[in-house]
Amino acid sequence: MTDIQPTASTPDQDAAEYALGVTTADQRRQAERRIASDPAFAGLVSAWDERFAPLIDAIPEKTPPRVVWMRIAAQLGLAPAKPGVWSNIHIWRAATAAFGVAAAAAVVVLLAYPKTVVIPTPPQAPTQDASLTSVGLLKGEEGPASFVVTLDRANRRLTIAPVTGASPSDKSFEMWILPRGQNPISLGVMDGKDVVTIDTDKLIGPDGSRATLAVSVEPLGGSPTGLPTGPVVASGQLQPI
Amino acid sequence: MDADLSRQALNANLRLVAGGDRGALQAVYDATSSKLFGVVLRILNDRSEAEDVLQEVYISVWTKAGQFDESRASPITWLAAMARNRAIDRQRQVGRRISRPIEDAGEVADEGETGLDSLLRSETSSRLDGCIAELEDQQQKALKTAFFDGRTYEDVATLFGVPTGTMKSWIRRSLIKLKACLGG
Repeated sequence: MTDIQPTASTPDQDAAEYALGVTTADQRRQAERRIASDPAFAGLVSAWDERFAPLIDAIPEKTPPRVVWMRIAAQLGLAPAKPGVWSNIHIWRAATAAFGVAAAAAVVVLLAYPKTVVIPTPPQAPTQDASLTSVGLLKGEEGPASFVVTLDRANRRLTIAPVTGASPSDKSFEMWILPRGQNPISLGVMDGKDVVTIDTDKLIGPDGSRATLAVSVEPLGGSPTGLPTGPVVASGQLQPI
Repeated sequence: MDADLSRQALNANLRLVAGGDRGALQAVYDATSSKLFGVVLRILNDRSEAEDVLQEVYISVWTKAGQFDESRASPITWLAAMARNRAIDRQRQVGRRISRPIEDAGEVADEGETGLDSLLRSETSSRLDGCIAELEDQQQKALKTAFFDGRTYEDVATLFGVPTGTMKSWIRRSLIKLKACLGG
């Protein structure tokens, strides 16, 4: 047992210690740079990952809260709207009618970049509503639901215009803000047909103008638990304009 | 699900993710997020941090799926290693929230075997267990604590009440023995 002595650091030992996770932050940075630049070293690390893999089996599974997927979907801008939907002039006219020139300009840009959820552009024309501060498009992976959202910070008003998709008759859509590191906060329930204006102080925090929002399907009248319970049909992030 | 089928499905979905298929990312998430959340939660011991890291992991899956080489690694090992590494890096930044002594790090899930567990389980599992069992008792515990909690040599040494140098030598010896036992 004692005849095997640890030797001076070798690449294989460095790889094993990185894979095991016993080194300091600085040593981990070094190892990560080496993995990126030295395929042989990266191979040694992968081999140790495979050796340790059966241990992962012993770790109990824990179901993450639904909000994690909502945030991932929002961050990646899931999903591109179908071009057929977005090129329909009647739909976008209807969607933008409520918002004045600023939002309309933003939506035009958004149409030009259908894969981008965020709309980081100043309006091209003088705005009619100078207090409009943020715009966002919320859209879904599979379902047809999508919403154009504008935030008017001065008047503490969030306006939500459904672009496509109404909630099923026995369900409600519920709008949530997803604060980083906290549970979702409900902003209210809607049917997905009418433009909704919400008086809200919840979006007036320092990050309110870049808030991440999501829409879930809930029992009629809203989530019984105060947290999202149903599938997320649309999500996205506000962007200051 | 049959382990081989799960693995093939995961491989196929990762290929689709590499090609920009967002639905495939959700399929990968649905199949693996509970296991990966268990892994990161164990290391961070803080739900909010663990949720943040899990989000980062799947963002990385989205951007790095093209780097996954299914001829060289199993998909779940690749994903679990990414999750562990992200969680360990975060833990080094924020510190582990609650120190707790390790009893037996090999806590076994009592939630029944999922498709993913059967995917992970293989003859190498019992071989690794057998090889770890050949280590001295304290060294087995030290190795498992290091792996499951993602702790530094220094932390594990403190926990076991031995000098850091001693812990390094225990674990390095254990690693050499494990590699030899598993056939290099």
